[in-house]
Amino acid sequence: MAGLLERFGLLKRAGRGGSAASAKERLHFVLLHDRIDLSPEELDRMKKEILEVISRYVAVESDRVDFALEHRRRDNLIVAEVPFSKPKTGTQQVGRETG
Amino acid sequence: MAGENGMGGKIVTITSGKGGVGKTTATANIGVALAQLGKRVVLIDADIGLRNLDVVMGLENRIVYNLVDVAEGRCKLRQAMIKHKLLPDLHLIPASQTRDKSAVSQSDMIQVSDWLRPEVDYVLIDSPAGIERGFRNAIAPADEVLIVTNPEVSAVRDADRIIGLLEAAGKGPGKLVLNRIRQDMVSKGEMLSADDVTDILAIKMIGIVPEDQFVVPASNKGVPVVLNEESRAGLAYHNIARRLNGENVPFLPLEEEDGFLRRLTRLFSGGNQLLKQG
Repeated sequence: MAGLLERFGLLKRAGRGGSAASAKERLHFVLLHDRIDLSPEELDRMKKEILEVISRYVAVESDRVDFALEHRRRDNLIVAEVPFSKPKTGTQQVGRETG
Repeated sequence: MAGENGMGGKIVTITSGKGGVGKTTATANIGVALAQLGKRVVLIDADIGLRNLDVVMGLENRIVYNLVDVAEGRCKLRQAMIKHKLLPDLHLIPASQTRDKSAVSQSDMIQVSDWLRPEVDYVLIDSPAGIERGFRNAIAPADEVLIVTNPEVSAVRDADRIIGLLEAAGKGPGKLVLNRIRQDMVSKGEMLSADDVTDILAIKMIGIVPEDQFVVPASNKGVPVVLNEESRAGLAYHNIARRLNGENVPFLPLEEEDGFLRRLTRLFSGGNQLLKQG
């Protein structure tokens, strides 16, 4: 499963140590997936929908977008890195309409 | 100690998800330790069809009635309670060996627990492995749940699943018993430490039980290892019982087999490799 998630750009491999470090790292990957309980298709759809929303406001550099599942302290996180080049024209108008 | 409803004994279920991590051994030992603390204890084997708590307790030759007989009204609760040989305030209600999990329902488990509550201080329920009906039955009456795991990827993963199910059932988060830890391997970085497991599962630890050469002979003889004063695993179970009973028992340093290696490890790690024991 970790492999699948990596392919969808949702998991990042960290460095490896002894076998205990490897166990810990693998558990984090497996548990993040168990806990989010979404299929790879659903994860991909979520990613697309998030980008759609952001693209309404700014121009997204889509080839450099990075989504990851991470375990930080006690939290399970979906971490998105979304580089944008410049604000889209008409952004403020969209803001007014939705606000 | 009073149960959560303030009316008598506390119902504690011991579960794990994965089989073979030491649930039954933990149930037997915590039960004996609580009885040694002067508590009135009843152990219930909820693993219908695969009973084992009777042999771990050394009570297999005294069984007449079992939990299914109680649930189906063939005997009175008292008749299914087997008194321990050494500790008169410790009783076992064995599982049936010939029936399956469908022979007992969640309401049966709640009923039996409610009958026992005014009579005892603790009811410990040994859950079957898995996340199916037997597990659901075992947690139904629980005031508190202990999750047993080993410092291995598969066992920790299953423990995480159980914690999720307990929370969904309103029984969570439970407390963790980390069983079969080897400090020499932890020090070499070849086994998950107690801190690693706590970090991953994010629940409270109630005990850390070291791998111990006395555990297998104890189960061979049907004398729970907590009765062996030489056993470090026995001491760990004793400490779990005290913590369950509300005492604040500090986690002690885990001694390694090899004193020299331990000192060396301390030297290089500033002492933080020295784990807690319980």
